[in-house]
Order: sequence, then C-alpha cells, then structure tokens
Amino acid sequence: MMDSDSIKKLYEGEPQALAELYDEFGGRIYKSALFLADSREEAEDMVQETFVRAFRAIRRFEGRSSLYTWLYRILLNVAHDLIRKKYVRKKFASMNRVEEFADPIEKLSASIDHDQFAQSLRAALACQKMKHRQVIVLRFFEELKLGEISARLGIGIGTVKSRLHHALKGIKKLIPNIEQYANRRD
Amino acid sequence: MTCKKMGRDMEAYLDGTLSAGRKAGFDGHLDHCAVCQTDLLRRQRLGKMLSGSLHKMVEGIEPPAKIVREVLRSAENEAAKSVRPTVLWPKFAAAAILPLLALALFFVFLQKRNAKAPAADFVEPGRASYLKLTTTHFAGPSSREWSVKRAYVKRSNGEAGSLTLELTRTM
Repeated sequence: MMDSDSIKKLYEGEPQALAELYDEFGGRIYKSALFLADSREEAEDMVQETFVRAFRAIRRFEGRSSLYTWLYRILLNVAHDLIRKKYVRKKFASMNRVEEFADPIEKLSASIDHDQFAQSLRAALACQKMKHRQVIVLRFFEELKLGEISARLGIGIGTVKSRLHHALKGIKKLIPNIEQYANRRD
Repeated sequence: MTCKKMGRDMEAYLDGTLSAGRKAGFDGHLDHCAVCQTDLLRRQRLGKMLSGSLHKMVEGIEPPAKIVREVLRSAENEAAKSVRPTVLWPKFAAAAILPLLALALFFVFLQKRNAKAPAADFVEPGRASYLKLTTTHFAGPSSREWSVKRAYVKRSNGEAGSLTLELTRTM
C-alpha cells in the first residue's frame, strides 16, 4: 500500500516513487489493458504510457478519487488515443477478425472448455467498439456499479446503461449460444 | 411497471441502487411476470459467467519486467528534463533584436517616403508663369511625381528676385 510519504515523493517527481506506484497497481492495470488492447504488445505499450503520463500529471492529482481510479482513467484515455490513432487500420482488422471468428462460434457446443470459450470471448471483445469494450471491462472485470462506471468514464448513467446494453448485444450476436454456456456453468 | 421499464431498471436493480419506490415496483412486477423473471435470471447468469471468464483469462498473468524498466527510464528522462537549466539567452537576444530590426526598417521606410523634392534650380527667374507646364519634369529619383503647390518670386527694389517653389508629392 502506498503511504503518504511515497505519494509525496511522487509529487516531487522522484522516479523511485513511480516504481512503487507501479508495484502497487501495475498488475491490475496491465490485466485491464489486456482486454482493451488488441495484443499483448499493445497492452504493454498502454501500461507504459499510462504510468509515464501519470508521472507527468501527478501534480494535478487532487486526491478526490483513489490513486487507482485516477490511474485507470489515464489508462482509458490512453486506450482511447490509441484507437483514434489506428482507427482506419482497426476497422479493417475488426472485419477480418469477425470472419476468422465466425468458425469458432459455430463450434461452441456442449463440449466446449473454458479455453475455447475464453478465446471466443476475447475475439468477441476485440470486435467491439472501444467504448463498448470499456464498459464490459469496467462492469464485469472491475465489477463496478453503474454510478462508478459513469464517474470513471465521465459520462451519464443513461449512457452507461445504453453502452452496456449494446455491448452485451454485440457479444451475444458474435457468440449466439453464450447464454446456454452461462446456464451450463451456473 | 411495464416489461420495458423493467429492462431499463435491471442493471440498477442488480447493483442494488434502485430507489425504494422503484424497487418495490420492480419486485411487484417480477412476482407475476415470468418473462422478466427469466430475463433477470439470464442477465445474472451472463454477468456471473462473463465476470468469472474475464478473471480466469488473466489469472496469474503478470506484466513483463521490461515495462517497469521502460517506465522508470522515461520517468528519469522527464525528471532530468525538469532540472536541466533552461538556456534563455537566445530567447532574450531574439526578443531584443527583433524590435530593433523592425524599428530600423520603419525608419528606412519613413526616409524613403519623405524623400526631398528635387531641386528646381533650372527654372529661370521671372518665368513663373511657365512653371505649371514644367512640373512634369520634376520626376524624383524614386519615380515619384511632384507638383507645384505654390510658386512665388521675391523681388527687391524692382530687380529680379529668387524663385521659390513649394512642391507636393502627387503619388
């Protein structure tokens, strides 16, 4: 747990304090980044950029939220910027991925194991728009309530509900028998 | 409460953030609507499964050590940048020279603009009545035309005096 001394050092721009911040939150941020990115390399770049931006902007951290929440917002901004940069490339990539993905979805059957399902889910997530991917990760990985997602993304609760609805619809469309799989697991 | 409204409130119901009144309405509708009961159950199972799957997908995954090395390297560069004294003299020099240069150019412009009228010493005394006809000869060195504003001859004791011309620039 980062103590006030470490936070003070971070404010003073000491790189060693950044290492402590990374030790504390790097793993969690990295795991979320894996869902927001299209590849491991991209997730690594996102995490690196998140911490560098945090180091630059630490003086603007007012303590109104937890350090993790603040870091997570930076991560979401980094993810957003990344998508903006490769918008056109991404569009084509997603289209190809849907095609690659079509086959495994059909093969989802009673005998499916977790790894197969995880692979399909990862591909289905990757096909979603970034704004939908973000709400899925925040709702089901970070396990946040609507109000918390709204605060973290800086959007209204109505928008969160709408994005969540569309995101789930998008995933169900790509994995039509996801609910059967969920029932079986339950 | 209608089924449509139930759908809208479902996420908040799962969060436990519905107001007491709406929660009562939600529960009341659930009691007699099998469709909404199924929808709620499906949504709960889907959420549980998604949550479990996402966590399992990244279970035991740790970020590679190279990330922290890169983060620290970038941070050290940033820190070094912030303590490095900024060399200001080129900025000050530029700030001082530029207005001086502008001022000099302005003076050159003014000088050209106020160029003196060419001397009119070839006009013979007593020939003032012809002056208007000869003003076109007063083309200045910078192709400017001059016209006579006023011309008069000073005489003293009936002798020929000196001719004075007041010229004005026409373009």
